Amino acid sequence: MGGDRKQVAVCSQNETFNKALRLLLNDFDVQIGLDPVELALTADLLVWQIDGALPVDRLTGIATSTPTLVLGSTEDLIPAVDAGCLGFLSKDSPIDEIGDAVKTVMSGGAVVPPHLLGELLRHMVQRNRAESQIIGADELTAREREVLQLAVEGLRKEDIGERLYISPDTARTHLQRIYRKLGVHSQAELIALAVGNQRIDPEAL
Amino acid sequence: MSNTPQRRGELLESSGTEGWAIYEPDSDSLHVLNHSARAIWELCDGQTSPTEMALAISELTGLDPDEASRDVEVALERLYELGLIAN
Repeated sequence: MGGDRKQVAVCSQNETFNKALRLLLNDFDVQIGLDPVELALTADLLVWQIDGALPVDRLTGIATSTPTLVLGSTEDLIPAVDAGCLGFLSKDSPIDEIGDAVKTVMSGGAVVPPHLLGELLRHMVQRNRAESQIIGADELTAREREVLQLAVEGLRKEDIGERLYISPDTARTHLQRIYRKLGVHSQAELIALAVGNQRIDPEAL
Repeated sequence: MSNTPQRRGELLESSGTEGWAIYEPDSDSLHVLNHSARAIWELCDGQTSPTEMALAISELTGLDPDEASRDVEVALERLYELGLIAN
């Protein structure tokens, strides 16, 4: 076990697959297990080959903090995305493609089958519309208000993360939610709104 | 450009490996779009704003919201130039 080596947790009942992936990911410490939720707690990245034993939405709240690559069938795709998984491949994907996907997700990227991109984006748009009707623009969380304050000061997500002791990815997620709730689509718009009126004064929300 | 662009043309079946072909009957032209451009073209249903598109892309791919917004803007401009979306 190397001190600085990233931990990849692999949840699969296929022993051959587990052995092959361990060999392929020799730059990482690979841990094999059967409970994706438990594995995700200590890993830097989770690879879960879905076998039907657990519903995909068990990862809700976990996949947003531990980057997760799901190997499943097409019907698992939308639940996996809704749970916050950053990567999705068919469970029949070649092993080298899975290895590449692990590296992509580990470096902060996303893996989505290109032919399903349009369907997924339509789903995201519909989901966001439904959520915005429920949430309302004036219901920022306390953390979102902190992020908003710093964003209006012009800080980038990396600086916001450093200031609030959260990762840049988490800062980015907060920014995405703030943009959605306030109906803006860039930091420049956010700042312009702040300068132009009092609507997004964090203290006033 | 419209706040909710409307796609034009008809998606044709293709192998899906290199991209998708769109036939635009008014100009009798055929365009091959890559996966990302095709996904944005599909979102142009006359009801979805560029802001909604950018947020969905940002959330799905992990791209910075500002970067996603710029990418959507560039893609829509190109689709508009090709006559594949209308105001």
